[in-house]
Amino acid sequence: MAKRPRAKSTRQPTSRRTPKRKPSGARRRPRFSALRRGVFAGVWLMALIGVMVIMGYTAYLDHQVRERFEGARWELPARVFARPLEIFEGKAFSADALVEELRLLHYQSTDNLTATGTYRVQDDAVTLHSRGFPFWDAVEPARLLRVEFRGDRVDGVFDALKNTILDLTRLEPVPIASIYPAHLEDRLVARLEDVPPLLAKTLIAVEDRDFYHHYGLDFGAIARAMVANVMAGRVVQGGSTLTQQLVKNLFLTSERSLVRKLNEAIMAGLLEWHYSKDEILEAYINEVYLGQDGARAIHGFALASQFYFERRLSELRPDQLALLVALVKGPSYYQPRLHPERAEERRDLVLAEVRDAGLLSAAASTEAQNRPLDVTAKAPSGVTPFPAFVELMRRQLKDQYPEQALRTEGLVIFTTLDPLVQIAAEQAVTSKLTELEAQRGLPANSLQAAAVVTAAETGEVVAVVGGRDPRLQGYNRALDARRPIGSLVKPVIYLTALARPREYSLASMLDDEPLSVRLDDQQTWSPRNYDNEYHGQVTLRDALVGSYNVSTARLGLAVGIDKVIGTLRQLGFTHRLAPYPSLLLGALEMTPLEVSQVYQSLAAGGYRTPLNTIREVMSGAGERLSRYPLNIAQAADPVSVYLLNAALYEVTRQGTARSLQSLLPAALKVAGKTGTTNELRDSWFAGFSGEHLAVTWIGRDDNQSTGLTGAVGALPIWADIMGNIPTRPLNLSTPPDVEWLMIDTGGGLLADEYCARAQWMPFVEGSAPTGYAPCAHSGPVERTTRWFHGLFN
Amino acid sequence: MRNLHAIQRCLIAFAITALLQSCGVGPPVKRPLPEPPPAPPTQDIAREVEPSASPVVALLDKAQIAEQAGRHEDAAATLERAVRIDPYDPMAWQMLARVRLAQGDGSQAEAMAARSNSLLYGDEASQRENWRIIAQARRMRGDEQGAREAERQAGI
Repeated sequence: MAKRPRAKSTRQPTSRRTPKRKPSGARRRPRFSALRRGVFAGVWLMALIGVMVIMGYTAYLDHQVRERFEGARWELPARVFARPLEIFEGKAFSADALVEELRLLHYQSTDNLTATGTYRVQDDAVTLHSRGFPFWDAVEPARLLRVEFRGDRVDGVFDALKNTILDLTRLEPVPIASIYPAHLEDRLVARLEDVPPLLAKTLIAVEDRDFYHHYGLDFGAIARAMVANVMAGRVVQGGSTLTQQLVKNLFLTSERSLVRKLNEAIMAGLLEWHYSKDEILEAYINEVYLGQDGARAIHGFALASQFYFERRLSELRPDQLALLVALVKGPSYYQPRLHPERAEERRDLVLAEVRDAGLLSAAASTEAQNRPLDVTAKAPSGVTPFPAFVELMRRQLKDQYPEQALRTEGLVIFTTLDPLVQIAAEQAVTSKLTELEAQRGLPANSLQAAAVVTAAETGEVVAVVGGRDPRLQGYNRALDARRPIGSLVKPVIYLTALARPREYSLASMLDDEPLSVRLDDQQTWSPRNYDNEYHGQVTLRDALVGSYNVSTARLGLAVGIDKVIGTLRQLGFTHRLAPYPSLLLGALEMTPLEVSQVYQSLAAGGYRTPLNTIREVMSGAGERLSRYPLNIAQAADPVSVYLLNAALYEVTRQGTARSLQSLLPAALKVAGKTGTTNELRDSWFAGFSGEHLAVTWIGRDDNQSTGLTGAVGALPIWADIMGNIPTRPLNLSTPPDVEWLMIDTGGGLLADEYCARAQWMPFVEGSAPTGYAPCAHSGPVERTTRWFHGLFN
Repeated sequence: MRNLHAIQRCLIAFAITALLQSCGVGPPVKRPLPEPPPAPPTQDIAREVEPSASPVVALLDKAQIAEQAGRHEDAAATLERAVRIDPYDPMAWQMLARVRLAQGDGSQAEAMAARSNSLLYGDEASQRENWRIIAQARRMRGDEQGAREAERQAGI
């Protein structure tokens, strides 16, 4: 900080100088003179010691002042942000979704778009005045944007002022959480140049008229206050300058004593000596206490602006600025939500002073006085609305940033959360659980659920629901409920088989007749199908689509349980597993998040990406600290995964998840798998579109039966999430070395349109069956045709 | 003589066709065809063609500028933004692979180039470029044999 070139020093107390005596007197009364000399010397010494003590004490205070003022002035909470909304032509995104995002950002719907944070909806377009934001890679400027829609798609993005097309723009991110210091002081630090000049001027006019002229103390103000207080017979007016108030808040306790008052005066002088008026004013604007939200203390005008108006300081009108200045005198006494009359009266008084100081015209001042207080009805909560996601983020952040750093350094954390998807997932969980309980006559609130939604390709976690009350911070089932996964394990077995195209294809025949396996402990394991029926010879595809247990178990035993575990590990499951046959039917426990990791590798076409919640971390000053880059690894052969995903798509068309056909729009193709565990304790669904992967789970905290299969319980929640978020359909573009053939499912041979039980299936080149099924005419007819051809040529 | 031979062949063909039909092998005349199986997903799930790839193109340009200036991390951040916008864009993955290579991260470069290849259909020049990246990545890791194999795929 710059030192002020002011020639004012700490005043040293001057002891009255004793006039010099004539030396002759000393000679005349030597004894008395010696005594006097001793006394003088003593006084001198005392005075010197006094001066030294005061100087020392002042130096001590000086050190305190400078250390606090020049170091990290405050412990600042970390600020956590959602992903910024990217807007571009062609994006699957509706005008309603944009308005919802703007609502989360507290934009105001208005015709006049002069202030940032405002928008207007007109026909098929939304025009908005964005606030801009300093991102990791670039600063997104505040600007007037016009977003045009055609149906549920963005048709164009324009800079409405310059009338130019924008390839791409992003809005500022929604703040989703703060991680507070232990003392729960919350504060947003603003730079003086970002503070509306009217706010600073109003503050000075009301609190410290001579701020720019005094040296820390304003004796005139003190005298005026004393007179006023004596006249009133009590303390009605303070004579403290802004500097003194700042000193009191920054360095001292609130006790009222002479020593404290003295310290305050010295420190105010020191502050003025070292720092410029603007620096002091800026510190004041950020330090001042302006409200309380439970245990959280609201400090600084920037945060108060959010707290009372949910707007940025720069967006406030004069009447709103005046209210904030009015609160300085007593944030609880004038609390506008609790005591609107008091607050309004005080605000109007402030506005009158603003007018008297010539900062506002009489007309503007009157107009401002006539406005309602306009504070939001409810204080925005300092507690995150998305505790389940934030919990996951904090676990990931822990390795790099200790708790203390998060609580004090004012870090800015950019996360992957998509608030629109998060809200859709929460609503799906809450409404479907209530619906299911009502439909099935289950006790209210007996069911619990969890959901995880990720971006299919990049592994970014976009939503986490940890229970049926998503606002409740506590047991986070998405991360911590470890439950058997049932049939969700089956795709892993099928992938293990399909990775060996010489041995297996989707048309390979499996035996779905009774099976008994002798285990090491002489027990017998006899898996049964869910419907207690056996299906004879079935194709590999049909065994998966119908989720048959017995044929799947046979397949798993044939490929080897250890190989299945190997595939599971490749896909991203890290826990150790014992190779018991029951594992093949899902007797292994995972959390919904772990299931997401495994299915992520399938959704991303065989590429494993560690699930991630953080993109970047910056310091409060905008310095780039760390980035969490995208990392991928090939987990499985992409062609094998393609074959598997094609079968998982059939699961949602013809198999155990076919109810999705009526629950989702026809154009939204998805792939997925149901999962149910013994006695219907757990109901699972894991599946993906071309853009999102979602895993849903329903169970009970006491691990009793829910009475729900995967298809009846978790699936409707999953469908409700997928159906309510903008997402693109499954991408099943056929790889170059894959061919689709029609297969007779009765025998796994080539079929044609004459076969009643034919299905299309994809094959890796060279892995398809070569023979024709008896039902097919293609074989003999083709041969006849060839013969005919030969006959005529 | 030649005509007679042709007539003979026609008669034989007719006789055989009649025989085949009487055996029930030929196309049934009246029996309705069974319900056809649902079409394979490739027929109704075409690769979604974005109305405009301009946002990705803009980001690739921006990344290119950063990369040329040696600002690898900026380029990577920009390319990841492109991948988030269109994860099926093989060129974004390819450029990301190249940036990772420049950053000395061979395993990521190889995985990303392979990802790019798995999204490329028919663009052989781009596929060869991915193989070139893979070859360099492998050589960086000391896998000379793997590098040569990749170079063979790249047609070097």
